[in-house]
Amino acid sequence: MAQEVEETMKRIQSHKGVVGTIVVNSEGIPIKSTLDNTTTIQYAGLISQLSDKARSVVRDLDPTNDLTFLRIRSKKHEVMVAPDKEFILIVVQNPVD
Amino acid sequence: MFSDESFPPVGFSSQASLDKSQSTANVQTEEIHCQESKNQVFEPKDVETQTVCQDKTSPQVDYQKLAAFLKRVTPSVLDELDEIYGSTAFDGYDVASSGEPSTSVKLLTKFHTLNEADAEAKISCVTWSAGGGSLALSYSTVCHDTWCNHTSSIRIFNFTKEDQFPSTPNRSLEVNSCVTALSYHPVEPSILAAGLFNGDVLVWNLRDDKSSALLQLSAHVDTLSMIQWRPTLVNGVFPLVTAGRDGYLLVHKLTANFTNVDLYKRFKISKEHNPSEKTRPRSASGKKERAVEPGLCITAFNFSTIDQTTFVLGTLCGGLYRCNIDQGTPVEGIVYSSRDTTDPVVDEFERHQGSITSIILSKTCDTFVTSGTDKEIRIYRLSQFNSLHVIGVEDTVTGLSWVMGNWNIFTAYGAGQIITFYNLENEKNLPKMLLKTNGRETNCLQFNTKRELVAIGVSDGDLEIWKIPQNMVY
Repeated sequence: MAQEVEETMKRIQSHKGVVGTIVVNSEGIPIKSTLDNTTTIQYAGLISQLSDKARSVVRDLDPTNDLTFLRIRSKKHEVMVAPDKEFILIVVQNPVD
Repeated sequence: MFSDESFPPVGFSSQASLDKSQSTANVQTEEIHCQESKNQVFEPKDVETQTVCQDKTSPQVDYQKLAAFLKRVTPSVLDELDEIYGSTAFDGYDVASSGEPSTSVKLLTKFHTLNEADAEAKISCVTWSAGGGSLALSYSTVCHDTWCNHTSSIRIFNFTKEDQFPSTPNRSLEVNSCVTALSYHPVEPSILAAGLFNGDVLVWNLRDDKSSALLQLSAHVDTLSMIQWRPTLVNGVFPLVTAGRDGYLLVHKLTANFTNVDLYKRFKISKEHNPSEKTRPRSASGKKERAVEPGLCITAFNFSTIDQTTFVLGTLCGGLYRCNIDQGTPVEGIVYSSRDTTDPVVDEFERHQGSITSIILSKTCDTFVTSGTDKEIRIYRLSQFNSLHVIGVEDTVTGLSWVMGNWNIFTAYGAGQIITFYNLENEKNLPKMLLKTNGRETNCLQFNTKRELVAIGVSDGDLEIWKIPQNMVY
């Protein structure tokens, strides 16, 4: 299973423009990452907080709804967040290489 | 010679006085203040600590769940990555300066687009595709003394990135007459329509490798003056509106993937609307309008985006008319393709002293701007006969265009190398904003709707591409 996880991570990482891929657990602790330690910890902590906040916004607006995907467009990067109950997948992309 | 001799002693009394002089003086010392305060030094205490060398525990991961999670989300993430990768949203986004309003326009590139053989031609029209990645140029001869027998071409340049401009066309479409109007479809990026000097209208699908047109219509009997895809849908399609110097304005509906054409509406501007024509004697039949005669030569028109049935039309003799696509009076005696011909004019505006060269309608209010060969730019309101404001210009203005991203600012270009910017709100030109091209005159100009670019066709077949930041200070 661990190998399958690694392969999926590699697949995402090798995609066009992808700068880094991080998997974070529900406590905001990075489990897997292709980025350096400091960046990983920063992304993991901040994005998991943002994702929690976004999820609560969606749920507050409609209790039957849920957050499925979060896309953050910044000047330099595009950050894609796929949140789940136990994990969050964060992919940082540089749209134009 | 020497002898002893003694002398009696001589005494002297002392002159020094033994009295001591005395004087008294008082000295007072300053008072010395003393203050006492208590202080106590800190008592140091030592504490010993010992770091514990502990193994870093990596978080417990349920790999089965993680694999299932990744399996579930990966396809959608990859789809998103694909979509974003091709996005041009960040093109031209200067990280260092964004947020700060800019005041400068920049010439990105300039190149010559004509062959030596077409020395007498000029760039007649430029148009950007819906996606903003493709630019089509058309050519026409500077002056036609007689009927046009020139073969001309439409050249298509594809821009992949903002700073990469090919100087040679990616594609060239040959046409049998000079091109006087050119327009990309507003939604379909591969559909291009052109109007020719001989009155034909051609539509291409650039996705096909064939250079022949999808459609060729002999729509008008005189030169096409303007071609426009109507911005609103009619029965699910964007109608193509063509206007010619023969006085007709036709609305075509292109169906079956642009391979079938159906004449939807046919309008004629009756000569009744021109004061000098009106004074002419009536025809023998006694009808008001000579049925077989062409109408007033249409030079410009534009549709309102607020009231979608309204459009404003300008003629060669300076007339400006408010027209309605659903109203107007039927013109008797002309039946063409089973469509009755209608005179769409519902109201008239104050006339220009020269031909109307361009009309642009505001997207936010009921104001519109016109330019004419009388060297005047006028601002009108749709509900008012007289113009609100008249701006006199030095060089004849042949075209007007709204500035992308700011619907209160418009540009005027034409004879002369300076492209001026005006503010619709205060009817003043913006001295800070000035675009000086390198040509003697500006033939055509079009803003790119997706990127901060403007393509300008100048004299001698030169094309200039300028960058106009959207957060520009005007």
